[in-house]
Amino acid sequence: MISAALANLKTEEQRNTLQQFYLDYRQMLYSIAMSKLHNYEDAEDALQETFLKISDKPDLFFNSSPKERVFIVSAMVRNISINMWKKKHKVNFEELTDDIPDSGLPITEQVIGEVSKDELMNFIVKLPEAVREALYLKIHYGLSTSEIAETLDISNAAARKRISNAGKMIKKFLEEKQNA
Amino acid sequence: MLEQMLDAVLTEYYDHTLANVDILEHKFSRRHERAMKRIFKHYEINAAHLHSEWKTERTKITYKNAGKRVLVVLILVFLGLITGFTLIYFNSQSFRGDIYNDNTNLFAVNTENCPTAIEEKYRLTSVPNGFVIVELDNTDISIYTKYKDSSSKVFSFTQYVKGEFDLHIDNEHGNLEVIDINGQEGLILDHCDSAHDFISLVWDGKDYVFELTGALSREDALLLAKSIEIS
Repeated sequence: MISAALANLKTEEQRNTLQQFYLDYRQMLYSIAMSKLHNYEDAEDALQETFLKISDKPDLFFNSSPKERVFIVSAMVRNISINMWKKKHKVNFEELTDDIPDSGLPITEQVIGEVSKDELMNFIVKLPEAVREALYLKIHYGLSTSEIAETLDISNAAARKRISNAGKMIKKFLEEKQNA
Repeated sequence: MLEQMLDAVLTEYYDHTLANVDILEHKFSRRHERAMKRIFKHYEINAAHLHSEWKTERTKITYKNAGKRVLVVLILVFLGLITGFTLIYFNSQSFRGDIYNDNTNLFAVNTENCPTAIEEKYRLTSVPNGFVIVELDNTDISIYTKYKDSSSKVFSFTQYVKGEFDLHIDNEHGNLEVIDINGQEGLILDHCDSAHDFISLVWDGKDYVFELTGALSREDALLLAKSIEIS
């Protein structure tokens, strides 16, 4: 009985947290959606879709710090908006096979050598956004491929592809630095 | 080492990027604000259910005793190979729905000649012992009432204008069935097991659509649904 009451109190608190987050960041999230969809009704729908998704699978949101939540929800809105735009404009999705290796990010095995922070930032800035956010979700949030796929509203194969591409790009960047 | 450096640089990058998004000052539509309110309300009620230990099973739609009243048209549609999820549409006498892997989006049909704003308010006439109203939210198109008891069990009763009824039901934890409420069609999602009660019930009330969701047994929910009266 007590645990049920505590669970309900927690739920009420979480609802308030989620609602406050929406109120604090809705203009920013709307702006991200609008930059992809260019239609205010669709952008509003993207926000609804995003918060519905968080409501359905709230663990990542509530297990993250308030600052971390901003990136997660922004990434969700961005990807949901892109998917909505693709569906609306009947853009064919890239077909990906399931044989992309899961461990395509050999970051820990790579030797960093002499790379300055500025050089690394220049490299990060040049990464495609899709690759960059998948990389951040893996490194900072420690998400698995399937969790990245779920968060970004993409298939497991697409998530693996993005992580694999990130690994290849990092490897190429480090090799170029060593040979320079 | 590299991972730590990447993390630090990525964090700095996103801190800067998100702090510098070109903000459009948008006045959100009433439709959107209503939808968001519904999402937060349903989050609270559904999350109370998710926090407890429930058995889970995939959703199936069963049509018990629906007889000739229910015309079920199933059209299977594939939505993008990359998203990997399937969308199923269904139509019954009073509702149509889009069934996703993790939720069902329900709409009312037969909305002709129905009020476009709440004209008559309905209430539950036999609330289970111990439950009191803790939240009321009246708009021109819906009336939401939340009940709570001393052990913090909650359920809600909502009256919707049919044309604006647009409800997402969590379909990952039960079976959606077509049932009869006072001669009208209803859909019930029964999440109850031996240790917990949790029901999502919507039904056609001729002029309006009604919803009961929360910590109720199937029997209590059906009794409550049949007990509504104009207040």
